[in-house]
Amino acid sequence: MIVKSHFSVSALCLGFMLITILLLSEVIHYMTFYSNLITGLAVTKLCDVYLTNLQYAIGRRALLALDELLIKMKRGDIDLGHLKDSLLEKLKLEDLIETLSEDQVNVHISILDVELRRSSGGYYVTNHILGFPSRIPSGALELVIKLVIGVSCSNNYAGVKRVIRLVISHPIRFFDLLEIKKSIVSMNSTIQIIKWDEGNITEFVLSVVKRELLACLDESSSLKCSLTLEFLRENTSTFLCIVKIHNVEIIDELQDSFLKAKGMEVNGYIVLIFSCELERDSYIPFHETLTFHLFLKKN
Amino acid sequence: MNSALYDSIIALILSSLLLIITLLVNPVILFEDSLAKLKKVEELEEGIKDLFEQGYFGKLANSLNSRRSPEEFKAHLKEIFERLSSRGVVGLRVLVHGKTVYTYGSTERAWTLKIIIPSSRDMYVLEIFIRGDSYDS
Repeated sequence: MIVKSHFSVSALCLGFMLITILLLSEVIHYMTFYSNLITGLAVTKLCDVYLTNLQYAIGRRALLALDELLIKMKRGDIDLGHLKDSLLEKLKLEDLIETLSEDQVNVHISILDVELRRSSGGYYVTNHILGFPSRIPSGALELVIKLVIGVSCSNNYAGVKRVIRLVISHPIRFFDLLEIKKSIVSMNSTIQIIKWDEGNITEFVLSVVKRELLACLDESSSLKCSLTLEFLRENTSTFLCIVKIHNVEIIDELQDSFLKAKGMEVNGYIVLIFSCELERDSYIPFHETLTFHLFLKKN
Repeated sequence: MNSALYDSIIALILSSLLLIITLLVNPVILFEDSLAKLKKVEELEEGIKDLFEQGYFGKLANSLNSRRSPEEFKAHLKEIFERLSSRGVVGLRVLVHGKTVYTYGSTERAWTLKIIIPSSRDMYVLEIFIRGDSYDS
């Protein structure tokens, strides 16, 4: 009876002790859990800063790369597919990842899609963030990059991963210039029969060429080119004036930002042939090649 | 019976002692400290994000890109520092290829946060020095 009583009381006390220890361990466990949670939250906030920075760095790099490519490709036939491929090649992001890894940050970037399209113009928030002109005219080149960025801390489980869609625009009126270029190229090898009554034939031909080229331009673009004029006798009553237009460069006057791509060039040369009646007393500089440099702008 | 009573009294005393020790640790103070640190990080995050949104880093990148006016670049850096100084930032340092270009404020006894600034020529790194201990270490 004594043994039973002694055992039951001691067991009660021991149980009480055990429960207290268990409760304490629970308290410590929750304290650690919440402490880790708070640390995790703080690390997530820092990772969010890195993610914002990566968004900025990738966007800025992409537009600078696009600017460089537009300068390189301005002479050739610009194909959007080719431009996109070259842009993807230029968008090397390893150095960004490497720089941040020095800060004990793990970065994972994967580009899901890159799209180049015509901009309808307006205000671009991302351009403002990146330090590029934010008011973009319609007909400009819009770049849409869809990517996944994951940032986590090397010493902690916390991090952020987000799908990001960057919409940036290069201020050059790419599509408008492309249309101007097409209309200039379509002038190639055209034969025009002109009526010339009196005055200097060279000046007359020049004025016709200027008029034709100006008709291709819009109010916000200008054109630089070189011309060579050659006069050939077609028969006894008519002669031909062969006009070769070289180094045609169409410039976007609205693109006044620090970005370097401001224009587009036409490959090779454009030939215009003028057929004209030969007047008796008129002076035609046969066998001479005359060269001129033009700068044309509407208004 | 006396021995049993004695045992149980000792057990009760020990349990009470453990509870008193736990209460003395004051978990609230422990969390208060962590929460204060979290608040500081939150403020810093807001401050830096705000600077991004308002285009400060874009302007800084442009001034680094043009290299025409070092004064303009210094003025941008000063503006960034002034906006972040109330959030625990003690200094800024601009690096290119690991070499220091310019330092503003203090760089001692602080942890850093790197901001990458790409320009057409190089990739600059802006180190933000923040007072206190790093959270990720």
